[in-house]
Amino acid sequence: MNIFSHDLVTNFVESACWPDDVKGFGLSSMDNWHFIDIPVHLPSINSTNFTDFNPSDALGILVNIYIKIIIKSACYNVLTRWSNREIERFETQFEKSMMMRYLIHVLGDIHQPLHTSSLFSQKFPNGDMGGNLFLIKFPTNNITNLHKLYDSGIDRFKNDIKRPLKSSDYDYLDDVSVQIIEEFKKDSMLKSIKSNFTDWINESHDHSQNFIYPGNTFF
Amino acid sequence: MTIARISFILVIHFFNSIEITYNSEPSQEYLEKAYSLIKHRIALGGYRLAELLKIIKTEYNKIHKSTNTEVLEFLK
Repeated sequence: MNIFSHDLVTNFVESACWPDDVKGFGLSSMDNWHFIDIPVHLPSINSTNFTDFNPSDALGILVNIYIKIIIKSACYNVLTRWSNREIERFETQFEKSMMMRYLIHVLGDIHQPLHTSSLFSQKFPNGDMGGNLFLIKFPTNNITNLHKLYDSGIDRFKNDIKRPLKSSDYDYLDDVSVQIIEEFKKDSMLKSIKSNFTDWINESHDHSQNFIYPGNTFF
Repeated sequence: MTIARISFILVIHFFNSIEITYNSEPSQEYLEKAYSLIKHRIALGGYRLAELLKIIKTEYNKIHKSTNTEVLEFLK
């Protein structure tokens, strides 16, 4: 697989970024695996012209089908490819590795609410592409839109870590992980953890609907 | 009555301060809430990935000969 990653990916942790790396290398056929633009409607905005995008109607059904096909296929592929121990050909190893990388990456992406949402309004009649078109002013790190703000972890994490990772980078990532695990104990989240993929996507979208975009209720 | 009005205005002020508006700088209150949300999402995603990898590891040894109800339930 490293022929596609220019040796940026040498282990499990680094593999999480690989699906973004390959976009930069020109492999674009899986680009739409990274997001799903479920519409966000804001009560404060007259969106009567955009009722076609109500998630509960036909488009919503299509969205659900899309979720099933795109997101679940990544998982099913991993599970089914891994299931046949008799097949150990290079192609299968390649596919297993690739699908596992996508699985890890997509699972992370869908927990960033703006990977599951797009704001439809008078200003964005075709959607704001998950906040990419929603410009903001921000003092640091070239954060110019809402999507970048959330992708950066609100600029509270190091965003300039280069791969292959150095031991100091692992130390930093370990520290951040420990802090987050301490703050959000697994025992207190068991019910949420055990829910399913569709719930995860809907939950992520709810955060966009209820907090991230303006003029609504608050997180 | 006046106190009620002032309270109401303060509440509106507070809510407005944690909204984000197009082409402007997010308030500190908004960024703090957003940071809390992001940490929560990272934790949840991490725990879920760990559970999923556990399932994959378990299924690695049995999926080809079972109906895999646990996985199917998970992927509903």
